[in-house]
Amino acid sequence: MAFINYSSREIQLKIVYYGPALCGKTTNLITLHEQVTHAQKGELVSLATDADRTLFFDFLSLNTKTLPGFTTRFQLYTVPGQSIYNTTRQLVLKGVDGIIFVVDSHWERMADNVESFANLQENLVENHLSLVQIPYVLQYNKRDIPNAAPINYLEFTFNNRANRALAFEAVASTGEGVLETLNACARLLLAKYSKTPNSNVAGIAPTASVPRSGASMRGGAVA
Amino acid sequence: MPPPGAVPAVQPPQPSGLMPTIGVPQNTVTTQPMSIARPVTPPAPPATAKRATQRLVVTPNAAAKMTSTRPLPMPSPSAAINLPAGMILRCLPPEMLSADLGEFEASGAAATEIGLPMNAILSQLPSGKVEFPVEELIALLPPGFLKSAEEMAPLLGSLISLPLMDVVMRIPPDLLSVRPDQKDTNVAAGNLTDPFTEDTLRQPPRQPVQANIVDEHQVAPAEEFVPQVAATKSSFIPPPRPITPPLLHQTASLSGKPAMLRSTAPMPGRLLPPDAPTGEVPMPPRPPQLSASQMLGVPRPSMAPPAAQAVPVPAKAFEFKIPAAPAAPQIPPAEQPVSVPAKAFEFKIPAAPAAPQIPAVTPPEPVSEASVVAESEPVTLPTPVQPPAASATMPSTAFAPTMPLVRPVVPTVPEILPPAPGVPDSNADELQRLAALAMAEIGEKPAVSETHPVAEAPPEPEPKETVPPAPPAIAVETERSSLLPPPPAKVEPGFSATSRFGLPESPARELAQTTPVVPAPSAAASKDTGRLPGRPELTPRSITTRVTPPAPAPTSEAQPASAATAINLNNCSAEDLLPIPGISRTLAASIVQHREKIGEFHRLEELLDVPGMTRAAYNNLTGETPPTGLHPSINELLGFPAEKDLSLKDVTDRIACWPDVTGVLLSQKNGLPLVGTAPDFLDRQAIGAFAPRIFEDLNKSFGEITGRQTEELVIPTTGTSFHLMRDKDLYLIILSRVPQMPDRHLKIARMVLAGLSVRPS
Repeated sequence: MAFINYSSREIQLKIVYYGPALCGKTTNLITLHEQVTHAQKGELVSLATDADRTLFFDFLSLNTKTLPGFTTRFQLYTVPGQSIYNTTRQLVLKGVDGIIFVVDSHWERMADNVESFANLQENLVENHLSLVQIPYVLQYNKRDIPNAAPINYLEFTFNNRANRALAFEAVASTGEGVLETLNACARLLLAKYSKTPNSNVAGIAPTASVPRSGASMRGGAVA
Repeated sequence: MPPPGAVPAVQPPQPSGLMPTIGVPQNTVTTQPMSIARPVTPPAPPATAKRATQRLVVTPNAAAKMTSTRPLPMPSPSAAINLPAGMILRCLPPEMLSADLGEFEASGAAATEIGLPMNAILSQLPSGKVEFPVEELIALLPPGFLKSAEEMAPLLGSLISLPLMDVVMRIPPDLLSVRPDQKDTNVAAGNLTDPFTEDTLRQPPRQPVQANIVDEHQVAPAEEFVPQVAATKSSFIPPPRPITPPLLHQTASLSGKPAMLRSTAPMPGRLLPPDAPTGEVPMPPRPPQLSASQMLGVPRPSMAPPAAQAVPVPAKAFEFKIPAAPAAPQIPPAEQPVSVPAKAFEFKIPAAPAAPQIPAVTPPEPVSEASVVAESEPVTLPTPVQPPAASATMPSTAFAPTMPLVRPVVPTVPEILPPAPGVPDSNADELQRLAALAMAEIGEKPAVSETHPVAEAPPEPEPKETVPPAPPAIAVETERSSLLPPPPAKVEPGFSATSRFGLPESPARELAQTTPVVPAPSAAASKDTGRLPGRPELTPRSITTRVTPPAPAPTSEAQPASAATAINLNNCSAEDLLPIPGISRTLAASIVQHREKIGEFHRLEELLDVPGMTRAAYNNLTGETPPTGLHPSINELLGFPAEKDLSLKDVTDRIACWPDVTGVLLSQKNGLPLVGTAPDFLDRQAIGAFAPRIFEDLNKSFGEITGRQTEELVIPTTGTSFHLMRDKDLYLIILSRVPQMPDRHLKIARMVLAGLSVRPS
């Protein structure tokens, strides 16, 4: 849930990158850490094993000034994708505000993707949450591989729920689609907390919403 | 685009290109362009080595209109997907095949298409895999390539996973469309601006504040000490700074006149010939091992009457008669007894009271000795000793080589100038006594120089010295041993009796010089060092004990120093420990064996880990009281009565009662939790297993960066923060609601863990 510090005029929002092992969650954070200017980011904390596998989680903090009068700090976490770290994933999901589910476009990883997506829903239930409450964005990563699964199949598999989620193609290693995914999730969170009279974020009045710029929805779903 | 509706059987667009593995070149693209149902979707280009990421824009109105007007395509019950028989055959276990796959493909039967029910496939697509029972597949395959039913019986009932890519590529795109009644809940988000825009990415990083920081290369190099004479004359090279031996303090305190010798002695210096190289400081040759008599009787070569060009004293002023007055540092052979007659040091002074007229004498612009003493030795000297008889008749600067004004590089060699006959030598006894101490230390009998002029000197009252009481049997030798009175505050460490006289260093002395400083465990020493008396912080290879056999009272002044022997626990043998009372042969062997096991001792408390070590033996060995274990310090820390016997559960339960603490866990190095609680949503076993791993991995990287190891780690999270501590093989994990626990609680937890890690005696 969002943490609002009135004294420092700061809003903290927690976004978790979820997905199967080796789908590119940590690569997303690394790319973001490289792209975002120094003034907006914190240090990338990554607890990885010798084989660069995430041991506990990765953490990156990004600051924005979207909401007037407040500094919005997005705390980006990743989870260890390996199935044995389910307890850690549950721990990282605690207090989550938004989720970016990273889908590996390898055909061979489709079963892992689906299993991880189901595991996400189970762990959200463990934290008394659900995908209905938590804004989430799909990122179809590794679109540059030759045998990438087609988008329509990925949409059919992962975005066939009652509420359509935003989905983006991405190549996290090169940075394509990484920022768009984060922006979409951040906009979802800002929209949620700026308009919803949620008791968890009672400090933000509806009048303090973001001024409408008239911009169209740029992060539309992938067809 | 196929019309919406049921598609009875779909022929793959390019069947030959969909063969997944065998016979397909590596760069062959098997992903076929898909025509997506939505009109705004451009056809996917053929997959190349790298495809550009596209963000497709679908306006909500268009999507709603599109999905609302079109019914969801449903396959007919009889619809099927044709798959090549060769592809299915390759998915079967090899145990089921009766013929080779290559033979099967060569027969042409591999191209035979087999229809699989569409509904069964579509229902499995969301799971990311398509599986069929073996029975269904072998019923569709052509006969002749499979084994008999009896041979395949063990494998019947298993599921065969079909290649998802080949299956999906044969499914009509309309059947893969999403549900039409999806709600678009992202409209509000579309009206917001991106928090992280391209502008923000292009924003240059904030310029760092121009602090008053000057780069290293901009800083003028610090003025290095350059001996004045060496800079001007290129003839004076200060001797290297000797290693500080702690025996100096003992010796100095025993003698009672430590500063006098150094402050009043002529300053050393090595006069090199003018053609000597001046760019580098040559190390003086290590003197051979000489006896004390040899060293006392012969002036030190470096301070021998220098060559004429170095000390331009007129020959008529005084003359030395020295058997061997080498210009360069030379040491007489040890085998050759050296006896310098007393009259050899007689000066020939033409007019006693009058100062000699020294024409054309150009002293080498020395720093006056008085100023040197004033700056380098601020100690008030009780009895200033001047170079005997020479000060009255010759310029003091003649024999006083100029010396640097920097204190650390002002070594003193007090015994160089021979005393003049008839002049009472105030420090002669001191020199002899120090020599005796040094010789006693190396195990030789002090020899008295036959030619020492002290016999001709008038008797001088022997200064009373208070010999300190005999030290305890065993004590840890420290930089400032607690067994001896503290040395004078202004005494410059660095010279021992052995180093003064150039005597060979005893093994103990070499050990003391090579080992780091050992803090004092006693109260007196700890008062100096500011450490707690019970917890000396020892560095590796500095664990020494000092063994003194229970000898009677010392008969001479040199006895106390000679009676003590330092034993380094990190390189001693078992026999070396045997003289220590209370140390049996078995325990000594156990100590050595434990040291070999762990590498070396780092702390005195590690002796408690030696098998068979008792509190009494520890006390005998170190002179300290063994640190307390679980009681009563932890009781005091956690507020338990001192007499209460605590269990580990009591400890964790008490910590769990702290504010904002949601769980406490004690675990071992092997990952098994000992005792403790954790919140319901956390797995206690997982936390216990997690702590050692994260410390191991973290310290591996942390050690590479800083060269140190961390014993504490705080992982603040929004919900529950993890405070992990490690002490030896014990791990304490405290879960807290606050990101950072109060320091006082962490300090207590740290001390409790340290108390738990120490093996209770």
